[in-house]
Order: sequence, then structure tokens, then C-alpha cells
Amino acid sequence: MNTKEIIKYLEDLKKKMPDLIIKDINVGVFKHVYIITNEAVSSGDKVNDFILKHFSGLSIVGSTPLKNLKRDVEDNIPSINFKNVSDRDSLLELLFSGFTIIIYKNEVIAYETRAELDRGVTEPTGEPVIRGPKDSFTENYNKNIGLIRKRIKSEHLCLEELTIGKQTKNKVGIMYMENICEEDIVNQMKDYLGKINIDGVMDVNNFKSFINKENHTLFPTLLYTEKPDDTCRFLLDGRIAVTMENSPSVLIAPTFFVDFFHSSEDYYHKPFFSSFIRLIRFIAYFLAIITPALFIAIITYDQEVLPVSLLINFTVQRSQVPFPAIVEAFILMFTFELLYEGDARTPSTRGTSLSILGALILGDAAVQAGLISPIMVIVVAISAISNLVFIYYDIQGSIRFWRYVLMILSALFGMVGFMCGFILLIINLCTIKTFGKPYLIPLAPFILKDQSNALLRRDLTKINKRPSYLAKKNVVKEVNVK
Amino acid sequence: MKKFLIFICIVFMCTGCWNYKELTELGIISAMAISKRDGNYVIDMQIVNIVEAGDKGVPESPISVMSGEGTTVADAIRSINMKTSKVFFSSNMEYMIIDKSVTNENLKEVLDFLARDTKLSLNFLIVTATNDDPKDVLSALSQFNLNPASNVSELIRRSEGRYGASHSITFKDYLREYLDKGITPVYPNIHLVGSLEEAEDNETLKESDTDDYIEIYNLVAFDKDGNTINIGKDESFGYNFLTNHIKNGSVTSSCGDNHFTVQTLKSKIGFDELKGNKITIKGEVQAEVFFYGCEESLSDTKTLDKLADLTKDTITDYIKKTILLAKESKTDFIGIGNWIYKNETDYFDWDNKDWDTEGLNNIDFDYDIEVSLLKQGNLKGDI
Repeated sequence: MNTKEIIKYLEDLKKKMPDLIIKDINVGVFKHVYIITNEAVSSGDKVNDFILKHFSGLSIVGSTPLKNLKRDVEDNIPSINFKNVSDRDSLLELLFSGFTIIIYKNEVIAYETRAELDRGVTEPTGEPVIRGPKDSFTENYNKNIGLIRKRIKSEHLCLEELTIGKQTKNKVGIMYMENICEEDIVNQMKDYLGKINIDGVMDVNNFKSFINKENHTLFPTLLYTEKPDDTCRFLLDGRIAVTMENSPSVLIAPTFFVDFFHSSEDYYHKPFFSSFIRLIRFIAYFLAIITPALFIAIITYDQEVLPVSLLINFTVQRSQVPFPAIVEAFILMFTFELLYEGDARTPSTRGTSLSILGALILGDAAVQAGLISPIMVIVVAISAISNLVFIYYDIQGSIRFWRYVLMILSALFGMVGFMCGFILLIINLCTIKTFGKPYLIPLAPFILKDQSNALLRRDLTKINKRPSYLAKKNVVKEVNVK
Repeated sequence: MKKFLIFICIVFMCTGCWNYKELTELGIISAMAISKRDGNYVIDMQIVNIVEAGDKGVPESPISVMSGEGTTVADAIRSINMKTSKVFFSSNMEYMIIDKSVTNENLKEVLDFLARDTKLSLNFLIVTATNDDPKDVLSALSQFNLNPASNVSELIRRSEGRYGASHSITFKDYLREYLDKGITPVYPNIHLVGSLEEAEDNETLKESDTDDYIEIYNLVAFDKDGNTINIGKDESFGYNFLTNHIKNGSVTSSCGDNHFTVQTLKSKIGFDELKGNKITIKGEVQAEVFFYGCEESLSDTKTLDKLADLTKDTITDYIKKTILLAKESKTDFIGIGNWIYKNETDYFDWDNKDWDTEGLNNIDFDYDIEVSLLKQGNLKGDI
């Protein structure tokens, strides 16, 4: 590369980019070393201490003249991360990644002086835990990989890197256990990621639009987690973790329906208790979807199924409400959705006022005003609370969608509509394939030996095999309890 | 895809909201009575009033009773539509009073109507009220349940198993017994004690001492002409023992001048075999002493055997009385004919002869009932 051209180009760039620093150091007659750095992404201290100090010492008089930049830098500046730069694009990429560029006589070297621009390792906010490790991924790529590596100290933990985003050029890492994970899955993932050709990706969540796209469904086929212990558990099952710089979550693939009902915390409790909690989650999932629809179907079409005392009770409560049940349900559901979204986007300092207002509006005033009946509040509350049981936010999308579909079908066709809607839901669940495997596995197709850790969980000493639908090699976990 | 969307739209337009009814539109029928007056069917309906709990103002009656008349049962029900804005909802009906006036040849029409209505559940009870106007019975309130119909149906169901002198029959069983050969249904007969004015007044419910309530009077059956056959207390016991409807019934027998009562724990009695004209009634009753007023010591095992024998005699006596009543009234409400029809069909010419008049009286009975007293009863721990 021609030094003059580069410097000219960079000086033009500096006009639009004041944080770009170009320093010209004289190291002999007509001998210039150019130090280029971006003060926003690189650490000033590192640049000063290692680079500027060294080159400033090379005064014009009295020292050995600088002959070979690369050798000089390698000999005198301590660092493990030097990069030879051969073209302008990689120069710019490295520059904006926090490298300092040193140019001397058409020779360009990048030296890592990255600034720590991340928050430290904090507690997971999206997946709060009571038992178990409380660290979570951050926006720092290396830190994230470090958090995984320090848990799996194995030579088999592979990391393959690629760059995604035409403008953003984000580093993406695919991690997997080469002695467990099926190669097919890794290749498929590389395939999916390789095809991504967009301006920029901001988070691994962007990959949702590119992976498993062939399924027409709202059920999540990819799991995102911000917990390293969760990620390691998945890696040891034979799954892939995709991490990306600037993304505090990690994408896990392939994931199946049952995985969304598991939590890393399950493994830190006794099997009976965690099985109980998993069962509660399953019940909650279906309650969240069906409760309003079932209620509407029963009170507007199939009142016969209610015992007479309950029927009278419901009728008394509904007698003050001027709307049909479906309208009433929609009013309340809509209010709840507003509250839910409002609460999620409100800073915690203002959250209290929202919840007080919400409780008052939903709990009391709306009933007093005759807009809704108390029983509908209970029904919607059951559904909404069940919705909140899930730690993985993505699954809530499917719950909300199917809840409304079933509500409308129930309002139009009663119990028949409800059943049809439910059958559609099951059909949809059954048709999903994630990385070529059925989504409902190991429930449908039913695999008996994998039930030890599906709906329920057996003791850890009994789960001595990895999921048969995931791991084809190294199937047996080493569990030796005598 | 386009076709599918059009199909969905058409389905929605054609069938959507079919049968849609809001809760508030419903008139929940808790009980009904069918009778016939001056050649017209009369339907009385007890409809639950939807009263806001704790509403201010004058307390309203929890029920309304409405009547309608018409040449058919359907007409009579439709005529009530002129009097109320509510859509009748009969799925949760607790019981239906079939008046004496419709138990003759009119019953066919009534049952045709009831069996036809798909929304009607098959589990409501069939009762009769021979001593009262059905409408009066429906109008009476209950202190035990805001919904008086629930009270009546609970009363009938509970007293059958606990006491033994009552009998509950659901519409499903009633229809079966009506259509089956050799059996005539038995009705619990309910009766309004006291005055109607007091019983239908909400204020009466506030008093603790009430003389106006609904009770189960006895069991009745109707012969072919609609004449009432009153089944007395003893005969009711016999009927329930024979039909195995007793769970924890009590049987009182005398030992000299005194009495003792046993409570049945398990009772299984039935027709065993038909030899010639003789049916053996065989069965086993297990019981425990419930009350003991006799002089012999209970700790003697022979006493228990003696008591068992006495109880056996009492039960056999009950059954004998029941059979005698059936024979005298020429109405087989026990189902003897039905048992023969199912087990020994060739015994009787069912197509050409009438069982009640030509068959029932020819049958004799042998009794082989075993009673075992399992316990002498329990005393309270510290006594």
C-alpha cells in the first residue's frame, strides 16, 4: 500500500470523523512514521504507553535508523496481537475495532489498543435466577467466549468465526463440542449464517429472520439465553451456541418445544421439585392460551357444562356488563397488553405508579363502572399470570397469537371452534422442523429413553445419556456414582 | 390460498355465532311441572331469578314460577314465551314433577316431548306431587338452599341411600322403565307442608322455626289408568332392598317389648332363579348394631345371631309386603316381570298378554336372605 495515498485518504476521512487521530512522527530525515488511531474505540493509555513512547524515543539523531517496521515493532513493543494489513478495507475494519495503525514506508501494521467499552459481567436481567451462577453475557465478544471457556475447559470446544454485515462487519462465533455435536448441524448453521447478506446485524436476535425460516409458525425455534451456565449445558447436549460481538445473548440451536420449559435452575434443585416446576410450566402454557377462549366458548354457547350454582354466579356478574363476552374479553386483554408493554418499557423508578394504576383500573374501577365483570378479570388474570411464568420471552409471542386465535374462534363457533383452533395449534406444532428434526421431539415422536429429562426430570445420576435426538457420538455422559 | 380465504369467510358468514346466547339472556329453568287441566297441558316452570348479591332495596325472591297452557306440551311451553323475555335454558333442570293427570295415556306425549329436546339433560329427577298443585310445590322456597330445586333434588338423592324409604329416579332411568316390559316406574312423592303463602314468602326464610317446607311424603306408582298406588314406609323399604338402592339404611325390629335398630353396611338382594312359577329371592345383608334396647347381653355371640335372624325376618317381611302390594294393585313396580323378560323370556307370552293382570299374580316367591351382623356397634372411646 502506498503511504501517501493512505494518509491522504485518511486525512480526507478525518474531516468527517474528528475522533480519528493521525500522528506523524519524524524518525529521521524525511522518514515519517504515521500512527493512526480512533480515540473513541481505542485506549489512549495503551497508545501512549506502548506506541508513542517507543516511536518518540527514536529521535532523529543518535539512534539506529528505523529500517524494518515489522521487526522493530515486534522487537520493541510488547503485544500478542499484531496484524499485517494488506488492503484499505481491512485497515478500516481494524481501525474501527480499536486497533492502532502504524504506517512506515508503505508497510502497515495494526496493533491492538482496544478500549474497554463494555459494562462488566452483571447479573442476568432477562432470566433472573434464585439458585445457580449469577453472571451473564455482556456485549463483549471475547468476554462472552471467556465465560463459556472457563466453564468448559476442553480442547473439544471449537470456535469458528465469521464476519456478518456489509457495513457493520460483526464478528460472529459458532461454538460447539466437536466430540459431541453432529457435523450436520454445524454445517447447516454455517450455511444459514453464510447466506446472510445485509447491511448490519445488531444482535444475535436478528438471526431469527434467517434461520429455520421455512416454518410458518410463531413458536420459537431458536433459544436465546444470556446465561453462560445455560449455554454450557446446551453445548454439552450437542447443540451449537452462536455468539456475536455487541450481543449480550447467545443463540442456541437446535432447540425444541420442551427446551423452552427447562431452566438451568431446574438442575440445581432436587428432581421432584424441578419436575413439579416443569409440570407447572406446562400447565401454565396451556392455561395461558386456552383460559379466555374456553371461558368465552362456555358462557356464550355451551352453558350446559356449568353447574347451576356457577351458572347463576356468572350470570349475576355478567348482568351489569353491556358488552358481549368477546368484547369484554378483548377490552380487558387489550388493557393488559398495554400495561404489559408499558411496564416492560418503563424505568423501574416509574414502574410502581404504573402497577398501582393498572391494579386499580383492572381490579376495581372497570368492574365498578360496569365495563367488565369480575369473573372476566379472574379469567384474564389467570391467563396473564400463566403467561409470565416463562423465562424465555420468545415463547410468549406464540402464546399471545394463539390465545387471540382461539378467542375469536370460540366467540364465533363455541366449543367446536375452540376445539378446531386447538387442533390447528397442535397441527402447527407438529409440522415445525428445526434443523431437520421434529420440533416436538421427544414428545412426538415419543422417545421413551429421553423422557428422563423432558416433561419431568429424573435424578442427575440417572440422566447418564445425552438426548438421543441430538448427540450421535459420545452419547454416554460419565456419571459414576457409587 | 385465495380459495381457502374465501372458504373461511363463507364459513364465518354462514355459520358464525349459530346458537350464540349471552348468559344474561338465559332464563335458567331449575324445575318444571307438567299437568293436564280441562284437556289442555299446563306447564309450570321454576325460573332462577338473577339477583345481584347484596343488592340494595327489597330482597327479591330467588325464583319465579311461570305457567303456560296449550293443546300440546310444546304449545304450553311456547306460550310462556309471551310472558318473559328470557331464553329458556333447561340443561340444568333439577327435577320435573309429572302430575297424576298426565300419568295415564297422556304420558306418551309428555315423554315424546322430553326425549326430543336435545338441550335437556337426561339426569334430572322425575317426581310427582299427588297431594298438591304442582305449581304450589314449585313456588315454595327453601331455607337450606337459595335454589329450592337443588334442595329438593339433594333431599331425594340423600334420603334414598341414608334412610331407605325414598327413591330417586332420573329421567334416563324413568324412560327406560317406562319403555321396558314388566316394570312400572316408581315416583318419589313430594309434598308441601304448611301453607303456600308462608312457603313462597321470602320473609319466612328469616325465621328459624318454619312449618312450611317441602318434604318427601312417600313413594307412589301409577297403574295403567292413572290411579295412585301409595307405597307405604314398609313397602318402600322392601322396594329399595329388592332394587338394591339402600346404602346405609336402618332396619328396626322388635325383641319382645323392646326394639333394636341395625344399620346396613352392604346389601345385595335379587331374584335368583325361576322354577315353575316360583322365584327365589336371594341375597346378603351386612349390618352393624346402631341402637340396642333389648335385654340380652350383646357380648354373647348367640345374641348377635338372634338379632340377625330377627332382622332377616323384618327385611323378608318388608319384601313380602311390597310384593303383596304389587300383586294387589296389579302393577309391577318392582320389576319382577322385567327380570323374567330378561332372563326367562319364554315363561310368558309378552306380545299378546298383559303381565300386570295376567302374569304377576301367578308368581310365588321363596326367600333366602342372609343377614350377618358384623359389629356390635361402637361406643365412644372413654365410656
